[in-house]
Amino acid sequence: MKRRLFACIVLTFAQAPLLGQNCPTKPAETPFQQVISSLNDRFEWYSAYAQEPDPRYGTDFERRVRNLGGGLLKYDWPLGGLYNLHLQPGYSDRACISYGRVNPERGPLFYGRMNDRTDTSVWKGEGEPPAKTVGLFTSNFMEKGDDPEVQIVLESTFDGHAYSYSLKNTGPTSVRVAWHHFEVDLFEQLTVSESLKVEVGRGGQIIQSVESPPERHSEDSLRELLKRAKTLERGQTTAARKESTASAQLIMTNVDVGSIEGRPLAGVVLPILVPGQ
Amino acid sequence: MLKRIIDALKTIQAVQGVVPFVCGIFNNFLTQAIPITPLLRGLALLILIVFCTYAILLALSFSNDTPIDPTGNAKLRRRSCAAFICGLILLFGYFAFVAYANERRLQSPVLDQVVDVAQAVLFVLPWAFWSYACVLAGPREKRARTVSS
Repeated sequence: MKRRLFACIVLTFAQAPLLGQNCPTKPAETPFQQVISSLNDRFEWYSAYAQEPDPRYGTDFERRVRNLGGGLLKYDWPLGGLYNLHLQPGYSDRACISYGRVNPERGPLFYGRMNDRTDTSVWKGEGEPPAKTVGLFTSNFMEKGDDPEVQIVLESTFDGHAYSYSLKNTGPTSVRVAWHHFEVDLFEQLTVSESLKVEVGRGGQIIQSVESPPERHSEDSLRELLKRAKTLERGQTTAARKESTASAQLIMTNVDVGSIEGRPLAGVVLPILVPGQ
Repeated sequence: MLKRIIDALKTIQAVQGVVPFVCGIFNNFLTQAIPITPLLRGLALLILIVFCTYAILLALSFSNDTPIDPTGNAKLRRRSCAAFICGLILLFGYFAFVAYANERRLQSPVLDQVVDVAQAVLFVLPWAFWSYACVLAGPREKRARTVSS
């Protein structure tokens, strides 16, 4: 049985959407946006906010970067809280957050291999925490071929008070999902125990290497793992939330996906945020 | 007094090698004489520390193993010049490599990662060579072993 790795990962690092995360559908004013065309890259950055702020969570903001070019795009947008080393052509990275009152800011967006930069304007929440203290990862992986298509979205967020996790099956079929960090079953850790006991020390060593797998399962062990794995129906979301004010630390986790019968379909290594030591 | 200062300088020969090393770090974070994307600066810094440390130690080792030449250590000077020129060539190589990588419009993230690592290494190599060159060009302690004329 062949086990294919992901065909595509869209990895987004963004500022935390507090609980009322919504992407605005109708921007209140003309959104800030610009298409940047250089010799090597072509992309669009975009920043907007929703017309009617949520009284509980504040204004909804949306920021995104779309690669309009023919090759992979590298960019770092500190003000927008987004970066990507390999944004695929035609794909977008998007961050949606809800935070306070509207406050425009200006700052650079760096792109390409040689530190090219462009000035941007961003709608932000007044007093919005800096990107380094809060974060959202949205990772999609899709597998196409003879096997059923698999689409899983993993979100990990930290809003300064709590860590939230959600894993959603956005694919067309039900699947079994095993989610591990080394030997720790994250479904069990995050939904059963009161405190998060993930060993961040080992994961912390690979913070800079977001695609370094913490472990590899053999075919046999993977089959056994998937037989005991959690079933995610089509469209189903499993979520967990842990209260903690400890600063966030990035760890790598294995997400292995199989068919309902336990046949391995796809696997991917995805980062999540956990409370630091 | 002057002699004591000169002797002190001779014992800190490695300091000269640290100058390009520090310049490399400054270039990475403060100015961008040699530009590199902020996303690769962490990796570049790590490689810079390893390569420059190795280059300085290698140069010190070579320098100390070379007998004192009464005519002025021509061998070390030649090697120092060669290392400096190699650094310049690698600097041009860095720009050429990045231009080539940009032209290819890579589609594969895996291949792109390989190119990222190669870019970071090429970014660091000139600084490492210049560190090596500076150590060899520096003053040396007088040793008992000399070349017989």
